[in-house]
Amino acid sequence: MDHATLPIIIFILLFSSFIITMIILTKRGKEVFLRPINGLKVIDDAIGRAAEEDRPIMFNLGFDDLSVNLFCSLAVMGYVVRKAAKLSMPVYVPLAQPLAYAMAEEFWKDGYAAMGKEGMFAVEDCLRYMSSNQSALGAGIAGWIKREHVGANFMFGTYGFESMMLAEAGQQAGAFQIACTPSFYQVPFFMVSCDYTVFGEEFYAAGAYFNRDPVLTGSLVGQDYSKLVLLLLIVLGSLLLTIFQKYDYLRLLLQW
Amino acid sequence: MAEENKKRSLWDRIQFCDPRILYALFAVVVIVFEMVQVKMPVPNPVWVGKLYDKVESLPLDKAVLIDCDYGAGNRGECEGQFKAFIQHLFSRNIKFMVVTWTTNVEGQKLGRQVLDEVAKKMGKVDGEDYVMFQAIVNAGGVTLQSLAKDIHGFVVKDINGRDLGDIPMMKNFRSINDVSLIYRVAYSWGGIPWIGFVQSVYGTPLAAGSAGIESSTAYPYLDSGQLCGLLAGAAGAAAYEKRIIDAGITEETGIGTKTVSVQSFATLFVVVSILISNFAMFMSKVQSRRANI
Amino acid sequence: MSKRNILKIIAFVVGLYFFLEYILPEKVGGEFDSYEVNSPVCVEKQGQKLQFYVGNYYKGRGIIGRMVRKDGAWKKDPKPVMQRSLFLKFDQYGLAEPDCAITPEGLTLLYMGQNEKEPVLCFAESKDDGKTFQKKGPAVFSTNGLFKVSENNPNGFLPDKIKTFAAEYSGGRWEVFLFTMTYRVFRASGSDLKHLELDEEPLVGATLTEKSPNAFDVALEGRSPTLFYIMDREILKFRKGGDGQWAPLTWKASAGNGSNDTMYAGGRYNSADGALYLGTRQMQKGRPIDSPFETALCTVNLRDHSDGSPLATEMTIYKKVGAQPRPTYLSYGTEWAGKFLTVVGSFAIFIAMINLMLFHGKKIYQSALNYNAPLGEEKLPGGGAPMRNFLKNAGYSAVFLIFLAVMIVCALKGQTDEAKGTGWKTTFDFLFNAIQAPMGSAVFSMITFYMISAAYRSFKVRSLEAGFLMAAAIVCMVGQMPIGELLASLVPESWKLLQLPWLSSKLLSVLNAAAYRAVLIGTLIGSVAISLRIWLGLDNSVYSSVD
Repeated sequence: MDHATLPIIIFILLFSSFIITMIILTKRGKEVFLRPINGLKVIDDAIGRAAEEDRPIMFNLGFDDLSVNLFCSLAVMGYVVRKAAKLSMPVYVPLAQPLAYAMAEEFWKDGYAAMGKEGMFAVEDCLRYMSSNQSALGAGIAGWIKREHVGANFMFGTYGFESMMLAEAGQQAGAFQIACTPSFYQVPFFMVSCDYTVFGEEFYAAGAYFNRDPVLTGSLVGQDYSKLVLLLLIVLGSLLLTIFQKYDYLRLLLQW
Repeated sequence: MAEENKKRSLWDRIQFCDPRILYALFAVVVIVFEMVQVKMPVPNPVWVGKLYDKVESLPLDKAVLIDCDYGAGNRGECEGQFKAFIQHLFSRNIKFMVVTWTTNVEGQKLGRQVLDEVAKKMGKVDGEDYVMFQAIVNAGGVTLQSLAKDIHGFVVKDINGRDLGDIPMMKNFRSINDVSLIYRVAYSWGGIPWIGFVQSVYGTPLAAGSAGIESSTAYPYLDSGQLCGLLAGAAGAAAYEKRIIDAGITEETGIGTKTVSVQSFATLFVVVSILISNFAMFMSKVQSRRANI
Repeated sequence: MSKRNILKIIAFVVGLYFFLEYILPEKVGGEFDSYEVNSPVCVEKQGQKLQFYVGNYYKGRGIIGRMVRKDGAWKKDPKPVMQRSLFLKFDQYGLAEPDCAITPEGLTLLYMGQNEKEPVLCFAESKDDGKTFQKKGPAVFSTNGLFKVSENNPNGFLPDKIKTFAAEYSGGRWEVFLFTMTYRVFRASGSDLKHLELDEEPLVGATLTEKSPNAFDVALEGRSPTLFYIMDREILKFRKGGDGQWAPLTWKASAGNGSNDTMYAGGRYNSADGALYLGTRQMQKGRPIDSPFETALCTVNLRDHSDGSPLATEMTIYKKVGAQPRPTYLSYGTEWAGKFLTVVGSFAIFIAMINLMLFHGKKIYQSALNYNAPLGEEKLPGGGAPMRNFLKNAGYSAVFLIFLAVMIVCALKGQTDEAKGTGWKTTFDFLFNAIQAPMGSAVFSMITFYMISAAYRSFKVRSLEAGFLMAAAIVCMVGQMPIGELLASLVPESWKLLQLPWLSSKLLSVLNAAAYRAVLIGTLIGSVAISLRIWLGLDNSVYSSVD
């Protein structure tokens, strides 16, 4: 089928309604508790530390093409660039995807412009398209980190095997490293080499931690409700399937 | 620095040894076992057998679509898988199409070398038994969707610059409905786009070959039946090679089988080094406790 | 209105379009048969000849169309008469191989419903000469009057998967002949399509032809059937002889009026008088490739041509070479978006390349400007000879640009040299094989070294959890390697827990998969949420660079 089946339509509508309702409620002033995520709290510290040591900052965007993940990473990058611009520090952005280049450039320029530091650093010095080839990308960035003696290394977005190279290069350069990725299986590599690692859906929540925008926090709560529904369905389904194994109609319902 | 070292206990020195020593030891292990080939029993994962059986049961009037996206880096693991797989397809006279991406030139080059070599050996003809498309610009799921709907309209040319319409075997293969199996071989099997945009839409079976490291992401999809087989790393390649050798399709030992024995000892080295570092940590703790008493 | 708001509105409209395309039931336009036509079937009702056929707007999505014979020519209904259903399981993917019969109630159309599993024989009834149809679901077969229908077996008791079928209605009874995947033919009969009784023995037990026929039909003369197999170039007729064996009758009707014709679908037309088939003309070299076949409806008068002399009495061109597949209304946009993204992607690569060249070119230029600057001046970090300084500052850039140029020239020149297999092409191959591939492998292998030092440094059992982690890691590492297999062979077969390969596979496919699923669900819901925010213009971070 090319088109949504009935269950998919129901789930789409259900999840969307959770998220939108919670956004509306938080906008009206509903108090929301956000579990602190250490890895995101320390971003300011990382920038501060790099500034103290007068070492540049690097922000990796991973392998994301024009996608939701890229937007998430860019939102954080915008924050980091602005902070760095305030302290007149360069933020290096190596890029793996040509399409991401144009987007990142906009965010980068915008960040410096917002702090009135337009033209302080040349775009082509700081933003560099490396390669779409993982090996070349890894080697290139690792070299860049070591040559420039990067002080804070942020790794946001999806990664492949180059994760290990980036993280170890940063580790050896003594950079303060924060990784935040939805790529589940790169997490161990980041864990051993980074100071903080954030993974899974917290990656998507990252934006919400910097400005307590009711839209972002509300949608986080909405996501939690959606997950709760799924959890209930999983538990219920496993129970029903275990108890009523023989009934065809039930299996039909479950296969639905 | 030297004085500091003297102060450190032996165990501490082992625990915090210069990584370059480890690197050197590791290199020695790999080189030695690369030269001295030790014959090892080949593991036999379930999912390799399932893929093999799947290929055995494929109809002859449909084609297999191979997404060849490995690179020089993971050649050791993926090339063996790719080679064994196409040998099996050739032996069954199943026609196949190979897709590569502009973002990974290596996939195209390496894939083509293997393809030409195997085809020559098995007496197969480009354009009649197999075809490799021109590299496609990958723009995510939409690309796969367009490819699935209309191969001729989307790909246009093969790697030799011929129009797809002029290629004899392509006359019968026009869309994903003429494809009986999709096999993606890459460092990261990265199957979510294939599953989301092709497998779940058209129901075409999907199998994957990936580097060992990334293969663990595939297990949930194997369980759910969205993937019908998996070759994980060099071990997967070796297992598949063993099967085609057992079936009499080829006689030579493949790359996978060769790699897997070296890999075995390298893994052993890693395990042992982790154990040593832990033991050293434990001993130095014991020592410092004694010193404190 | 600010630029940002305009962008948000555009994003919303585009998003809405895609969303609707995804959730709205598919609406098929007037050109439902533009891509391919298939399987014609003809009936005569009160002197009016009606024809039904399968039209595809792209491959494999069959929809039934209708034609009426008027003034000596076939006239096509602009709209399809029956479409695939969106929610019924049996014909979710499309309809195929229709056969038609006239019953007292009106018109009954039987068809193969395509779905994600095996095809199901379904039927539909019409009271207005086939202008509209009422779907009745699958036909049901049974042996010994027992009916067992389930989701997995909607057609009831069947010996084999159905490939195609032929149905006849006479004297209040249905006779359905099922042609199965193994080329056997089964016969079922009954007064109601929902209660058909299947003969236990196949009518044809072994294959009569080597190749599967393109179409299959049956004529009843009394109770004994005659089978028609439409092959690539001929129509074969089989009848059961006195010895109980199926024998080909002496005649063969062969195809068409041109040597290129192939008969590829169709059926008998009015009680053995003529056959209706769909002829294809193979695509000529160099023609457009979207639809390689030109198809035409042809009629053969079987009675007159029992000697096999070819005659196509009529040809109605259904579809010409070069017709484009026409998807649904809304799909135009999504197809276009796919192409658009591909084009944008290509330009982006170009822009990225220019950025790279600019960066490195600038670096070389600046270093060259400073080449003769006096030593020790601030512009030059470090001392040393000018050349050394130059190399230090711009060496990598120079290497990069040189190799970029060499690779591009070799690749472009190599295209033209392809046929000769020499010159630039070989240079390119050499550069690839001797430089790029080994470097790629080397860089990749570097991560192994990094991994070892990282594991040695931080993989320590400092707590109970870390202990579990380490145990699992070692089991998985060793279990997947031959060495694990070797160790397992030392342990008795029944001691599963001590067999590392078994243990590692369970760890991976049970524990690991469960944890991964949990993370995946969270991740994907997160991405749904952020997509929704972007779509509805709630997330300002995306538009932050636009005022």
